[in-house]
Amino acid sequence: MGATEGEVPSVDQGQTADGDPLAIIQQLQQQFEVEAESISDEAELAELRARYLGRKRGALTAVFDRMRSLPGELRAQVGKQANQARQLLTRRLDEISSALAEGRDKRCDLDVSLPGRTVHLGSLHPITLALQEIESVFTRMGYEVVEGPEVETDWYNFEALNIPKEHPARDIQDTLYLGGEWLLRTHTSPVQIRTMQRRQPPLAIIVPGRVYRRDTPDATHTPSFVQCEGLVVGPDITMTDLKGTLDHFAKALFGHETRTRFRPGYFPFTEPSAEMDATCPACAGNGCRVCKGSGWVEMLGSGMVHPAVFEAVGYDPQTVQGFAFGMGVDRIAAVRYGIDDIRTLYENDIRFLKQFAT
Amino acid sequence: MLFSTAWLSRYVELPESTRTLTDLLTSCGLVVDQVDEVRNDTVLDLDVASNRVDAMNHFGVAREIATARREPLRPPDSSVDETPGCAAADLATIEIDDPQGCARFVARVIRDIEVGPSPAWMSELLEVIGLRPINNVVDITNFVMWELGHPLHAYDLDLLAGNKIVVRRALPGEALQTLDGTSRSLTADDLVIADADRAIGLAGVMGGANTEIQAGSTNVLLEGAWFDPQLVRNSAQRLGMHTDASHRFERTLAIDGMVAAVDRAAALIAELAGGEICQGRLDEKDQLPEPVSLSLRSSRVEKLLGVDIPEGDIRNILERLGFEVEGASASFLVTVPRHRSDISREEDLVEEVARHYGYERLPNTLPALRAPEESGDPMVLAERRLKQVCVAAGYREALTPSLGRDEDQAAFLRADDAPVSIANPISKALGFLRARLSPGLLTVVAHNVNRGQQDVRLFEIGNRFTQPSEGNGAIERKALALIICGPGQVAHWGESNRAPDLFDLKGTLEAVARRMGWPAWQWRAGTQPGLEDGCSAELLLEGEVQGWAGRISAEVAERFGLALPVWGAEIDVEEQLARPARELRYSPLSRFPGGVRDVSLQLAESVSFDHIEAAVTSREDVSLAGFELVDVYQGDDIPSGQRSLTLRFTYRRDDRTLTAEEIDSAHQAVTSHLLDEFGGKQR
Repeated sequence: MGATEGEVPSVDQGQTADGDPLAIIQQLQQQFEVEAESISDEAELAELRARYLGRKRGALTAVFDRMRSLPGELRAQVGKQANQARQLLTRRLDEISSALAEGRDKRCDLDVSLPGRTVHLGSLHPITLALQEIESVFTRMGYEVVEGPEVETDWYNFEALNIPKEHPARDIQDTLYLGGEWLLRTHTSPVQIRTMQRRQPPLAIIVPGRVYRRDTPDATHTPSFVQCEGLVVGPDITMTDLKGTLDHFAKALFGHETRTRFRPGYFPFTEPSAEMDATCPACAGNGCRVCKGSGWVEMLGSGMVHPAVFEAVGYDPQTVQGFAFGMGVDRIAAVRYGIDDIRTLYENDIRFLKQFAT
Repeated sequence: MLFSTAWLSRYVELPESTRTLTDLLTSCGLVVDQVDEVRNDTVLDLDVASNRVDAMNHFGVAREIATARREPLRPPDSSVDETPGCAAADLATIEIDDPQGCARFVARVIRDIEVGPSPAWMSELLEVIGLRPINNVVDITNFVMWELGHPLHAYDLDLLAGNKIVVRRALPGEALQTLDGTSRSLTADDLVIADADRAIGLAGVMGGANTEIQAGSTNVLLEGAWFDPQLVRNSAQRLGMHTDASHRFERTLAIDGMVAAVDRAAALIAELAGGEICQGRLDEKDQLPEPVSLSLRSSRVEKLLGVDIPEGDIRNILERLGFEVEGASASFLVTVPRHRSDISREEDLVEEVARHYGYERLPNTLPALRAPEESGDPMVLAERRLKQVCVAAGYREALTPSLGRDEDQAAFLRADDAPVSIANPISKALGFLRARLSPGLLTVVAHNVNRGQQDVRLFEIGNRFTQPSEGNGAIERKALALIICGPGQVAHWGESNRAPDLFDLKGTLEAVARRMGWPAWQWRAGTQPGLEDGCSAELLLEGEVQGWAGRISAEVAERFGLALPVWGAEIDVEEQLARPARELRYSPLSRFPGGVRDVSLQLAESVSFDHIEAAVTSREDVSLAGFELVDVYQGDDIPSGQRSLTLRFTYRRDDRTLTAEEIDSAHQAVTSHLLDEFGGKQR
């Protein structure tokens, strides 16, 4: 709200030619102060400067112009006053200018829609994420995570698990051998044997780790993959405990609405044995591509630990019993995240890994 | 394994709906993989467990259905109408040379048959389960195998030299042309059926072409035998012959199953191919083992399953499955039928009861578990933490295969590291266990760079395998590998990128050690296989080399198809992971302000930073609270062979405020110390 030009007192207008120049200067200064109060931007400031100090129309400039015609003593006196006034006005204008500049900085003027500074976060592999979810469900129930070697002996991988030498599951096609008694474990069950040898019941463990099969790589098989097995041993662990535990696991992993189905299966190291299917998480059991229309996905194998396994580790099968289970983590990850080719997991394409950067 | 519902319905009443049937089969352990409508029949593809050879035939599956539905089971008619005046024993003799390989050999002779096509009903049943009808006699042997489960074989009796069957091991150099037309060279590991002169069949696997039933054959010798599962498996495997017969023999058939099968087949031949069944069944065998008897306590059933199943249900289920049950529930005495070779312990009986009681009827309970003090092995937990630290440092986790090529590994191995080879590899490309993680990561880098993703920053934690100095097996140790490459990630549109280098790796590894509570690795310049000389370092701990870091050599990079600079590090962390987790302890903070002073020293290039670090840390000055390197400068105003290092020292005491004069004097002392020790001058 700057004053308009018409209101500025001028030597010509406000006073007659014989007006007191000293009074005019004083009046100009007072008027300036009033107008300076209301300056709010650079344009108004420039206008104010022009009206008082402008070379052509500045009101104070006009005083200097008229001064030349004044008598000597008065001229000196007016000149001194006018100079003081000019200094004062100039200083005030500079002050206002700085204040405006400061205000401009404070006002801030960003295009907040520009992208933020990227934080390059790392990420865990989806198999690790799936495994952590699995581990978390079981450790919440009181299980301990245990690991063991990938290179194993025949005894730990087969004999101790009630898979004698002539058993069809030992067909050379299935197992990768290193020479002598040594082989690449085909499941993480040897770690369960080692744990039972080291510790007395009760125990509840889960055993994740890499396992190996002599499978040619394709969309559903890789020669090495990650498995997670579990084992619970105690005096009174029953098949209903197995069902309750694994049903809870399926619900914790795939959602509360998940239903499970247990059906008889066959594993040399469990008796009775059970396969667990879960309602397909992709279609909620209605049938889709993931579950090949059946509404069910195979999730894990399980069973009550075979007495021969307890005998192999020196437990008395008449006084302890328990259940065991095992699942392919790659497969769980594939079902969980909707990955249709297992090999994608081991390509580690950055675009793929980024999708799991939680 | 395919099964016809029309065929199943010959022995048991089936439920009306196929869905009910498939649910029923699934719930008793015979998973239905697929259902197909073929002609007027519904064909089920059943996944029969490898120990359930008793269910690898229609009658066996019908027995499961009958038990599950509590319906009567109708066995096929195996009664034989023998023709008087001809005795099988007069027409052929059986001799078993290897009684361990062949515990029983049963045969019948049928005379004056007419070989021709099978009747439509039989051809159709065979065709819907994927078998090709050949002629009535051969089809009947197949039909009976798929009906009752015991493989049979029919020989043209007139082609049997000496009218004699001998079961023996193959002779050295002996050959046999099998029915598929292939000539097989046999060894003493193969059990054969022979006549007086030559092998006429590979026991349990396939018959020979030389005695095949063909158009014009008139007299038949029908074989039903029991062969040793291991011998059959070995022969089938060595000769690459997996047949319906070998599949069954390998899985331990009933020692008496062939009797009904041979009779049933003989009766069908007489009915469908004419001819007369000679009197007598030839049956060569040693003393048969007693059937297995087991005790079953209902208390054991309840203890294992967690539910009390009524005594009547237990008895009913077992009897329907063919078990004989005597005594009372405190301890039943159960006789196992011979077709259930999979049943040898009480727990096996518990499973039978549970299967037909219904897994679905068992309630869901949760066991009361002890609360563990830790959620896992300390090493497992340390590895999980290490992964999190790498992620926090901005690296993505990669998981790469453990099996690979020797050549890919070789580039990174020292002379004394020998990779572990697989005795029976899947392929040459999968012939070795990894001795280093870096080759796998380089493959991943190449995969990404080839797809236009050049900024790669990855880590992997996994086992490495090397040969032990003596003996077999492998030394298996955990390692951490990092890899980085690319033009550098730009964080902001207003900033420029910076290519990664060794100090990215070093900073990461320093942070890893700090966060894990591990001692820091010492870095020592050194040459490394696979790395560029002058750009690589050895990482040591207590004087032992634990790993390396540096730029992958151009030669190795090229091997993986990479042209851009790649930096990597790989460290054995087996022992570090086993260290106890760092104890967290509070140390009081100084309440007094400190002062900071910088100094720039112009020193010979040969004065490495770790020497300066050692000199500073050796000072026993309580007021020196810390120091850091803030600049390294080489420019026109610095003579060549020298460089300027700017060091920033922090001075603070815990017990009082330092005066400016004290700080200046302490700073002067450090500066003089360094100049005295390393020469050079202050800038």
